Amino acid sequence: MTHRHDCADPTCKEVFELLSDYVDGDLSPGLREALAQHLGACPPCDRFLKTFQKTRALCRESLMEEMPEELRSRLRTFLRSRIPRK
Amino acid sequence: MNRLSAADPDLLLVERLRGGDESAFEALMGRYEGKVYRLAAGMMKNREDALDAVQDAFLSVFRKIDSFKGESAFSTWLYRIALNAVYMRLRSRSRHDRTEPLENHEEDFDPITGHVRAVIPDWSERADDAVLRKELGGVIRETVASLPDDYRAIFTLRDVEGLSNQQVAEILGLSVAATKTRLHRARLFLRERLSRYVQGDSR
Repeated sequence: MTHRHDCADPTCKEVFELLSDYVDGDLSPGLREALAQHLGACPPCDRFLKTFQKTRALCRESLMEEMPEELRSRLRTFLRSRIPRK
Repeated sequence: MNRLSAADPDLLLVERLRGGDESAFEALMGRYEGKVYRLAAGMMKNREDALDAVQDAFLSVFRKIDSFKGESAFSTWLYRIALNAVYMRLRSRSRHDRTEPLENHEEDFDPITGHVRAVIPDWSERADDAVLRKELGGVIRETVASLPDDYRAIFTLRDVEGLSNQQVAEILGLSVAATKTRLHRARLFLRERLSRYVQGDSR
């Protein structure tokens, strides 16, 4: 069941390959515009972009862990024991 | 380095440390220990292993500070040392480059037209469900842990710490192009795994 739409250039496959460059702002203005047009006309690619962005947000939120105070304290104790005081 | 240090607080602290002011080392730690810990924790999964790597990294920074030439940003130099400390610890646990092949999704596209033929649901709103979101934290950590080491480091530095592709490439000693390719593959791999989980298919 191939998805059909009117947007021939770039292809869906090329859009998938360029999504990181697109969201990171690394595309030339012309290519960026071509991708934006494709995404506006192609619901599957638009849904892929939404879930691609959601994945990044969820990962950042899950992995943005603060260093626990107990570990900070152990790190400092360790370094004080290994670094001679003048 | 004097002229530069006026604009860069890291370089000012490096100069003070070289001059024997140990409080400058504490200040550098205060600026970076949380970031280095996040990198180590993202790479190693286990908190105790991560702490060991962070300890190794800061001890190396203290001992090698005279070898920092200022050719790259201090943070780049520090992250490079931290990543080496992580890799050393991973090797000692025989986990280095424990990899899971990243899928190729050729079958998702029509081979002639290049149009997508896979069904792509939008699960982005569903992922906001509070219970699901909690579970996703574990799925994300497991999936990131299954990435090859370089991919995991690139993803963590870029998408969690927010460094530029250029800086991540310098830290890993890779070209910017290679860094971007690995980052994109890691992002696609994570999206695919989360997609399967949210849709109730956690194969």
